[in-house]
Amino acid sequence: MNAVPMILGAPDDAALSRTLTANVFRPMGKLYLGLVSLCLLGTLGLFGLIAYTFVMGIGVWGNNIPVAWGFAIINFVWWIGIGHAGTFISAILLLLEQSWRTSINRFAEAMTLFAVIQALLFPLLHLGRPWFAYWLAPYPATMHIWPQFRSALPWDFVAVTTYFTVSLVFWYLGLIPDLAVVRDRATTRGKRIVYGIFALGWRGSVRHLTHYRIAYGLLAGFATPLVVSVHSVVSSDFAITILPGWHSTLFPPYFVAGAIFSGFAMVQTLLIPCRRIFGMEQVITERHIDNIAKLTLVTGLVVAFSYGCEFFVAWYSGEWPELYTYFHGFTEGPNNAVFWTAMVCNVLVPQLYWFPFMRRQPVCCWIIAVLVNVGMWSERFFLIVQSLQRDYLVSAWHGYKPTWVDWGIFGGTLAFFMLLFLVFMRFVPFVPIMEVKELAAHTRRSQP
Amino acid sequence: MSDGILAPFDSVQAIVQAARTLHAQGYRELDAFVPRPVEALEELIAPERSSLPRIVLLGGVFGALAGIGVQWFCNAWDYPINVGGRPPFSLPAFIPITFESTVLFGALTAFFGVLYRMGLPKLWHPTFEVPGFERASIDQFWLFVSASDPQFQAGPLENLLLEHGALEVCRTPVETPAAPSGAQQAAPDPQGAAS
Repeated sequence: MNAVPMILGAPDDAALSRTLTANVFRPMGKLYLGLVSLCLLGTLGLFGLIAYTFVMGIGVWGNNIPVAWGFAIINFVWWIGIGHAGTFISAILLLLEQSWRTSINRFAEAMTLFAVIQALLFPLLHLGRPWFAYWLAPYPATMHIWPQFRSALPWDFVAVTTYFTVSLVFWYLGLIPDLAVVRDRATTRGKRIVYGIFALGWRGSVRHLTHYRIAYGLLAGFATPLVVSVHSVVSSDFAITILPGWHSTLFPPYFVAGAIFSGFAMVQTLLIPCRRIFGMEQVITERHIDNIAKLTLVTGLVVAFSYGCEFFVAWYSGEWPELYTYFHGFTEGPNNAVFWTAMVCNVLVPQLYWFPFMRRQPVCCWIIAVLVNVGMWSERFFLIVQSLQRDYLVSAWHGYKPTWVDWGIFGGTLAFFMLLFLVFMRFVPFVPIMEVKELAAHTRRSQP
Repeated sequence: MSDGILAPFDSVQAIVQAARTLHAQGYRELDAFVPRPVEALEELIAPERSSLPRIVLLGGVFGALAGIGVQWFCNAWDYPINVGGRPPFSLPAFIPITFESTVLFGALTAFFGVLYRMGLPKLWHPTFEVPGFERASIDQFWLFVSASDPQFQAGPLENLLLEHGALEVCRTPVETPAAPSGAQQAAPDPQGAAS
């Protein structure tokens, strides 16, 4: 049935070392430098707009009462959700012994790290006075007060920083042996020293490997519940309020499914062009693209089911505010185009993945993935904005319109994300070399 | 454990065979440097269970206690605030942070614990001076026998390794000729790989 293998041909260790470190050694092309400069420009714009926000105050953003959570929280939730697929691929699929994850796991984890960096910016800026962000940490302050841990805000702070830290050490631990490969293949003394420092003096000792593999497994074990917990905590920010559209016990699983769904879409969006540009078709085959597409479909169905549940519960409750929010506020209220975009992109578009030829066409997969990204961003938008703009009190109803600063900062994070990713693609072996060698050896043995 | 004999092999079968023979002859202070995990070698060379899981468990338990302890101290002991009549020590609300700090401390213990067990970072090691050793991370499998092994006899051992398909046999530490590489001696290349 599954004819496409995970590794094409039967490359030996030397060939794999050569192919998988090629991105580090080949000279930078014009296309690459052009893209980097473009993203650098966008990143500069981002920091410029952040400085502008600091100087002027967050009044330059579109959020106001009642829509107090505008773009900042939309983008935070969207970015942090994207990170989840990376951890899902690197941790959960590792524990489930899904060996196809091997070639794409480093790539997806890097995506996680860079997405979480973007996400972390937003709550910080949204504070309005970001220089007081350290008040979230329990330190013995001269004011003699402590953070209020019964609020969801400190939960979020702890969850997201933990997520970032654990993802970082997990990613780096996996990277150590491969940095050693780059060090040993290095052509210049400078590269040998820099990669040598980051490889920490790894020599592939079998005595080290026994500990190393256990530590890697343990970190996967720790990262697994983290995948589920981070977005559950984020969803608690919403669910513990009494706002119609937010006050729902379904939110944690609904958010986690949405997060993994959007993350897989982002993996596809990045993987398909990178695989082509860096010539990694040998180790990132159609099988990988097909599998990610299937997982996107599955998580997409969970998301669609959650939408259905939300509407059903709103109807079943018989509560007028709930009924109004779901059946009028979302579908006909201001910004309702965003709601319908989310429905089309998240519910209808992924259904194309039922057709095998759609899953095997990289171009189709890429278009679907981009649409899902748009759809998930729209979902965050309608959940936040459309719930807030139609509160219980009709006299408090007010619309929401993002300003150019909002759009600029959002676009800036996209550029910053791409910049980090481009740098990663150029300086780090982005396919795990040691693990792929192990997998290739296994394949060679099973089909002589 | 850095003085001894190093021998490269170009296949897993050869190095496993050689390691089995040495192990059968009573050699215990062996090590191997490999580009990818070889389970048969791990069973021969490092059969003892890693203590890492127990250390990590301690780290995780510490994280859980620290997480709940800090929350209890801040919100229930040092400065209790009545929020809607809820108890100051409201366990359900404290669960998320307790969970997160468990994971954080557990994961950091695993990361720093494994570095400690491996003795890394250690940017320079005598084996890096062996010519061609850089291929241990690329496509060769290197077997190491420590000179501190009670069985150790350089001559017969070298023959044995060569018989089992070792491509060559090297002594470590590498004896460096005095004059020409004096400069290198003064500042050893951290990456070794004395090309």
